[in-house]
Amino acid sequence: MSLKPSRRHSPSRFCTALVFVLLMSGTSTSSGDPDCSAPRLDSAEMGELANNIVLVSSGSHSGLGLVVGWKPPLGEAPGEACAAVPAHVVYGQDRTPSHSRYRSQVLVRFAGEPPMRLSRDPLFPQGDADLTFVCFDWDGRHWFHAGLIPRAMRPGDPLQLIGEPGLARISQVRGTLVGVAPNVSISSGADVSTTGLNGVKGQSGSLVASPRGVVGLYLGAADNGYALSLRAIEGMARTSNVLWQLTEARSFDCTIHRRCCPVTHGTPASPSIAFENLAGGVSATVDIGSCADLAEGSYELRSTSNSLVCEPRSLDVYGGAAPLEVLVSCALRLDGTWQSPEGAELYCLGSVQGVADCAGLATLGLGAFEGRLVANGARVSLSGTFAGFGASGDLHWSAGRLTGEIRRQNQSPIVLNLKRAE
Amino acid sequence: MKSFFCVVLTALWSAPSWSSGAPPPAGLWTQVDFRSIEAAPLDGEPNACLRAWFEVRRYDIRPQSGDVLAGMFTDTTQTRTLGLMSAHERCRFPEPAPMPLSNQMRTWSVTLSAQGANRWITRARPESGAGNVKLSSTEAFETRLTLVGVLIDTKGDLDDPDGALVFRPAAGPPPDFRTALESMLVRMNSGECLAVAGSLTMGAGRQDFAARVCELRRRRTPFVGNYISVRVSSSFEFDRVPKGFPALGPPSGWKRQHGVLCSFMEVFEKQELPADAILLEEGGRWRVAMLW
Repeated sequence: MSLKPSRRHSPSRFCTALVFVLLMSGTSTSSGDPDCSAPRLDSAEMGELANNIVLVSSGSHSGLGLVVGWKPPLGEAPGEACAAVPAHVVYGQDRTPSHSRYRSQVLVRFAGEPPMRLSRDPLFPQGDADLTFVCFDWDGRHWFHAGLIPRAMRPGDPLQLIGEPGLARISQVRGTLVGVAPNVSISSGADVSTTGLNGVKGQSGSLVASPRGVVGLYLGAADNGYALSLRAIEGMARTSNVLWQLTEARSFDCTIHRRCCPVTHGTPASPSIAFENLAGGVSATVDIGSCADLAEGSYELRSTSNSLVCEPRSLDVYGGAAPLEVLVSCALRLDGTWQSPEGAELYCLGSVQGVADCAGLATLGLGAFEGRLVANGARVSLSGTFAGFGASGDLHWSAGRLTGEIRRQNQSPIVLNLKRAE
Repeated sequence: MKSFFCVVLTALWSAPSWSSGAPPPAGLWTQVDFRSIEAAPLDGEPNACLRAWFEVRRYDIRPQSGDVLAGMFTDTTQTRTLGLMSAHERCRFPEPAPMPLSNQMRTWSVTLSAQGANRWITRARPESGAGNVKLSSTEAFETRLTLVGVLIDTKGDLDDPDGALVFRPAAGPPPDFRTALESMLVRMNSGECLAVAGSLTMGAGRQDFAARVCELRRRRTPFVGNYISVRVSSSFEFDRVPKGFPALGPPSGWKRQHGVLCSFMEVFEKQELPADAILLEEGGRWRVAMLW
């Protein structure tokens, strides 16, 4: 990954910015190139999307629908879920349908389960779009996946249908995204065009899945498949007062960068933080108080100092105009074995950042110590017992050593000088 | 590097001896009971304040002269608050421990007499105590310790979860629990809330539990922004839970259950929100059982 100068620098500040970037080159380093090749379809993730599929039949027509919104049961009132369904699956070619007739003949069910009671009449077809909504009672037991909407759609993205005739499962029909039109086509009722996505009768309403999320609802195929995008469906749901719960899918676009600035409010401060992209190939080391442009992605964070442990240890970076301030809190790494030059040993286990439960120091002549070290910046307080008698001490951390005094109740203090055993 | 460190530390504590050549069972041994979850009202809301009770037992055994072993035994009964509201100053729990954070530490000095290669009779004499509540008295006792990889403290059947305390060599919580926590939070915040909330033990038997939890989280999304990280502030390991866990109330027997109570901040782009989770190890895998 390369560091990028901020695009918001005005021309009049170009020289200042250039000097700044040159100065900053000593405070942040990066290596590797992000892998920005087209994402791949993950069958495990796609399988979970099938949870939102309902099987729909109406007279001689059948197909599938996508649950787009739900609300939980409230007291005696049943919950409700609403599915987007191709209008032709519910109404066939009837463009002026009668509510009462279709309500009695539309059956909606999850795969392997009995039909559910419709909570209201099916909606009319939505303008030029080949779409309607069917709402039904939901008891809160069947789980839906909300994170479906792709954050971006790119021509060339691989596509695959989820849903086969009468089944909510991954189909083997694959294709490629051609594009998304700004408006719904009057002839097809769709706005997404594809190549190769040639389904069969009964697959209308399948989910058109891409690695970035669900592109839309499959409507059919002429020479190639076409679909209605979730964004278009969302607009229609909101206009028609239909429940809408879907959110953006978790995906990263590594061509998009975000300015990330690690900061700290406490001491000891890590000199710098290493950001390692979990997708591989990309890492950056950024000084506290400095910034770097990081590609969207999931990162592991760690201090560049072995003496410190920091939180958080991971970070998801999404694109955004404003810099992302990453609050990093670090504490001395107290766990492990500490040894004095005279051979005394203190064994510590850290369960909380900056706190460790310790035992040892038996060779000091005070009895065995058991207690706790608590770091506050470079100061480390010690409390506990020496063989049942109260123990206390104040230590200071410097250059990898803990030095200071400890005492057993009212006895004279003993000087302690501990170094972590490597 | 991280895993290497964990391996080294685990290896260090798997051999719980203070110095090379120290005879077993010299070392630091810990056993923790998750005793109960206690609820109290706040501003008319019946279960707004929640806390968990733990009992932490620890042997610190050292070689003395010859084959003689001696050391300390501590028993600390303590609470940890659960959820955002539970540390509120107006949370008041029933006597004798009304403060949300309560503890009693009792200490004994112990001497161990060998009864064979891996068995000792332990005699414990009361020492000083500490804490802000008094729940139990500190009496002298005698017990039997058996070393079979772990240290079993029993007066009867070794396999009886009610009668035998299984002490493990002291060690930090295994790193896998954190992986499970992070994975759960990512799923919960990226559209799989219903599936995750529906798998929580605390929602068992309540059909609308997951839907309600997720509806609340959905409503706050515009205010908190994207989930980006988790900042773990503490983790507390335990070994037994009451039968019927996680039902509220006093224990009526025990079952062995490895778990961790973890306190953390959910980090969103616009806000950080505190939370607590109980994770259980089942069949070698960690899962989040409860979340506040």
